[in-house]
Amino acid sequence: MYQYALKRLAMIIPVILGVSLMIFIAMDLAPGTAVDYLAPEGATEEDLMMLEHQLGLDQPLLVRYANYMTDLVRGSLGTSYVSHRDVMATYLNALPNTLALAAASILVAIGISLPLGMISAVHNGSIRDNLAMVFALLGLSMPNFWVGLLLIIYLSNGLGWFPSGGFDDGLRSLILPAITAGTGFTATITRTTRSSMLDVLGQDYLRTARAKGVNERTVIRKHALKNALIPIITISGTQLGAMLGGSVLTETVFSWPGIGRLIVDSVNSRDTPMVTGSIVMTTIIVSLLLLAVDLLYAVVDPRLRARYASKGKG
Amino acid sequence: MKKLLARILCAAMTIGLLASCGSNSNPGGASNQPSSGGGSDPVSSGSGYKDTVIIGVSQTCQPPDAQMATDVGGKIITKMLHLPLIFLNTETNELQPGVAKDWVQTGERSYVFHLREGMKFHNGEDVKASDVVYTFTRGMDNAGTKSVLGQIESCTAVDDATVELVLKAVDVDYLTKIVDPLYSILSEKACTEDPDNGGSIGCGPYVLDEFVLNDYVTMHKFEEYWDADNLKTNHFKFRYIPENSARLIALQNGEIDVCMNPATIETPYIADDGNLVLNQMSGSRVSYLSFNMNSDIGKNEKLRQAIACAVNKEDIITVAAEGAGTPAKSFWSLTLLGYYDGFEGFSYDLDRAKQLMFEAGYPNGLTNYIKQGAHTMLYNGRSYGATVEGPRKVFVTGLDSNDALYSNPRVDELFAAAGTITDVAQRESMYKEVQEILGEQVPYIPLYYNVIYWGTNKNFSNVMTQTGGIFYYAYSYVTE
Amino acid sequence: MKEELILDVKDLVVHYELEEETVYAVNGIDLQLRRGETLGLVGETGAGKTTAALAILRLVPDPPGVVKSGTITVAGHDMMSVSAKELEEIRGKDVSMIFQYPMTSLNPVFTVGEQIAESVMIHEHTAKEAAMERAKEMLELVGIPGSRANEYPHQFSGGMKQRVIIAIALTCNPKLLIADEPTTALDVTIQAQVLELMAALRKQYGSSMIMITHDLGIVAESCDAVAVMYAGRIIEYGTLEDVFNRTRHPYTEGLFNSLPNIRDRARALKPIKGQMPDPSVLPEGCAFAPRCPYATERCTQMPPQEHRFGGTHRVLCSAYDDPAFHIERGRQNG
Repeated sequence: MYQYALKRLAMIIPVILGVSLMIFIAMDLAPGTAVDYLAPEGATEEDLMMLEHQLGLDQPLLVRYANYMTDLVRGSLGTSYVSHRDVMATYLNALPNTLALAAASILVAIGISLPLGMISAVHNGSIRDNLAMVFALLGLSMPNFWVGLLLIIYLSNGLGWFPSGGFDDGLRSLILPAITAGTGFTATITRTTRSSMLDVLGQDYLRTARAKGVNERTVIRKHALKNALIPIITISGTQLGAMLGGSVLTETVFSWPGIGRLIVDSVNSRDTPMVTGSIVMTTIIVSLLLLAVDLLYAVVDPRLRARYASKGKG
Repeated sequence: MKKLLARILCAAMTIGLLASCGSNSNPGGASNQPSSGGGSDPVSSGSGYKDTVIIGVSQTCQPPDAQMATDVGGKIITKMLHLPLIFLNTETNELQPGVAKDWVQTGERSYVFHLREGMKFHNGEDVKASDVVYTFTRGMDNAGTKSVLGQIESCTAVDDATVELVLKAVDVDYLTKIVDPLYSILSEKACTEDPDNGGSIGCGPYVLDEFVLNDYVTMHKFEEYWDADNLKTNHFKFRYIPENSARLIALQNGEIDVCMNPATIETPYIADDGNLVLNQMSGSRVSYLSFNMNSDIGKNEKLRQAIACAVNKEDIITVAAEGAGTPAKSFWSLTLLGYYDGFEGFSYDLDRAKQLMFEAGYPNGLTNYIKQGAHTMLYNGRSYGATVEGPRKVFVTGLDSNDALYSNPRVDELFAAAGTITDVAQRESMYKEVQEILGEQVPYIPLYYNVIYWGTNKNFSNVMTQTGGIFYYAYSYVTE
Repeated sequence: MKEELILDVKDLVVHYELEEETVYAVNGIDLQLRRGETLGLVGETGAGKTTAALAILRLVPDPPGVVKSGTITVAGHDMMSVSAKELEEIRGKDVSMIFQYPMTSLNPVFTVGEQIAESVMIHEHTAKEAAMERAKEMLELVGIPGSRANEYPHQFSGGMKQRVIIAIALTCNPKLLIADEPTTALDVTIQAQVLELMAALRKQYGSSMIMITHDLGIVAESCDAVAVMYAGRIIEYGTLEDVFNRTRHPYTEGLFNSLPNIRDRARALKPIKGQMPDPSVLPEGCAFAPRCPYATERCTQMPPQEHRFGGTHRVLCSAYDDPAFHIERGRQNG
């Protein structure tokens, strides 16, 4: 299985190459450059040209890309055009915030959707099932930022239980953003849990368990759930990956200084090194995350361990 | 193996959660965020003033190096930490002593500055003339400050407290140019020892505590500031809250004392709240319609005048600016030297519009024309900044801000001449003539000046406003 | 005279009530089993054998299955009135079941050792360590090395899986073992091994067994008594001798006739013509009548009566209303 993991790690490299090239080209195609953002009032043509030269923007795309890749190979992501600080450092500063938000959201989501999905499946067709599905649909349809603002208005402004943003209050400031970001997840994971459980509930080995005298709750929670986990883990993994990259809305509403906002702000100021660096780093992290998810399958489903072993060699 | 993996994953997630919550706590501040509505602070300084004033800003800023901070957000911070040679009181438009206690113009293009005694930098060093020389030299390579500092031919320290400045060419407005926070005086020692962060050491009223990019900036009072006795607030915190509604709610919650730039639509919430005050002022940003003077429609002066009469500025303000605007008659900003609106101009008058259209050779009618002409008009908004450089660039032939491609030799002449004369009255009459010409020829139709809103806690006082939004908070305070 | 009955089923009726129709799976059966006895429950697919077996354990999926009436007594417990908790104690301990498809009957994400040990832990309240030791012993008992206890089901072949299932079923020494076509899904050679194993264990533990099968050969080898089911009813019941050598019911005769004659390979096969009726649409009269060579008008109109023939032998057939009636098989002695 280690070989499999190594193979997957090696595959990240071509992905990074592709992603960084795409971003470079995209940033180039976008109208305007960092110079427009940085140029002070009253700057002359000369000033603008000097600024361009300082940032290296007067060179052709391929030259800039080659320079960038040379730096990258040495492990450096360059410096921001706008803040003149090291891209890697800035990114790593913002990363834990997004990670915390993502982790908390997933925990909130799983905490709600797993039981909900199980109840739905076990009581398939009943009122409980229908209510749960309606709830899931609502969660999926409500826009993130709207939920966030509502939570702020009622729970923060109205009841005063939580701060309206920032994260100086420790865990308390994490709760509202986690619920906001988690709402969309909850819906998806609930539905996946439900359908996966429904599949499993029809399996023969559950009958064997009951015939052994295992009590019904244990049959559902231990025997059935573990088998139902594979699709749930897949979905959770991909959702988590998406969250890492796209938590912008929640981060904006709650003034949460994470990488989502960092990337959007950098795009707005045409700060190519920052954008490229952030996205490359995020790509790596998401790839690692997906690898972890795949490896987690093997923990859950022993049948896959043999398959990984053979894939690794083959 | 599987248990190990599972445990590692759990641990990783938990650590990620805890680590980020544990870090980034507020070190320098003696006070904590209030957790419920209400503005009182657990740690009272006992002097009747709140210890920490918290300001919610809508724009983030880059790491505070005075010469790098070219944006509004950055300049607000710069003003707190630094001080230029001359301090501009943006409300009275007076030039006041900054690092220099007085100055003399010794020749057509030379000046001498006498530095204030006993000024210190945040790192304990004395402020000397050599620091001024160092600062200006440093800025000559810097894109943001290059053009203004590039006008300097020589800058010398005559002695520790005297600086002589010689320009390459006459510039009567030069003193008003160097009041910008960009030209604040930096510590030579700090910058040479720490090239990355030295630019945040200043001699201004507050000292930087913590700068967390895209999150907040904290600072504390500089006890050795020359005017420290009048600084009533011990700590400031500028919090970046990008989402308008969230920022407003933070104000309502008492989490911040000032909310900059609330959403125009939400300003009634501030106005209706007994604990808050809604403030507003006219900004320096002019929004205008510009003609392409090279197009058929643009070339026709009568037609341009006709359109000017057909534009209902009030309506546009209501729709485009959500009511946050004051109608503009001249292209000058209200506080700019030479502002003059006494010319006749063309105000909203449909009958006159029709007549002018007829004279222009377009008897077809109004709506038809507007559809046709829309693509030759450019909707734009420009902030002129503190100096006449702004309008000059828009109206003088061939300059980049001249969107309309307007060219009038008389206007060029007037701008050039006014730039070299020191007599204020004479300059004003020249600018008056420019505005009269522009008012008649209408290459642009000025629409409105923006309105700046900000909401404050009712106990907050004493911010020095500025039409560009670069407010000065050093002397602000919140009473308890 | 009445020895202790391990199993006493009286007049069991089980239906599956679906939205569009009702499936009349079991329509009134009686079964008795004493200690150490083996009953063969024979019939074609769809006869209701599995449903009857599941009903004994109260494992009929509900919804849509419903036990409409009847009593079931297992080792003295009245299965219809025990609580859920008692049910959990009875299952796996007093009565165990082995299912037809070993490939799907084991949980793929737990080791075989864990699955056996679970039974021990539930019923004997032992700690995990001790339970795993017991699991290894059971594996050895069914012919699998104990060291394989930590392997997963997918690492075993079909026959070995079935052995594991047998191990699970016998772990707590049940009084009654129900085996639902335990060898149908296996190769013939493996089949023999498994049957031998089951016989040995039965002897060792002294458990009673119901062997559900459609294979008369297996019945001949391992059963003491036989019950033949058709369309949810037991149409013939008796000792092995009775049913095999003194066959009475036309359907049973048909089953024997359809067996290929090993001595006369050239002879044409003689299947029973027609098909078993759809269990959701059962006729008023005898369900076998449409296919029965001896059927009369009365057979289709009236439900058949039960007739007894000495000892425990009983037959459900209207033809025997006429005491002179007999089927052909008795004559030929096949």
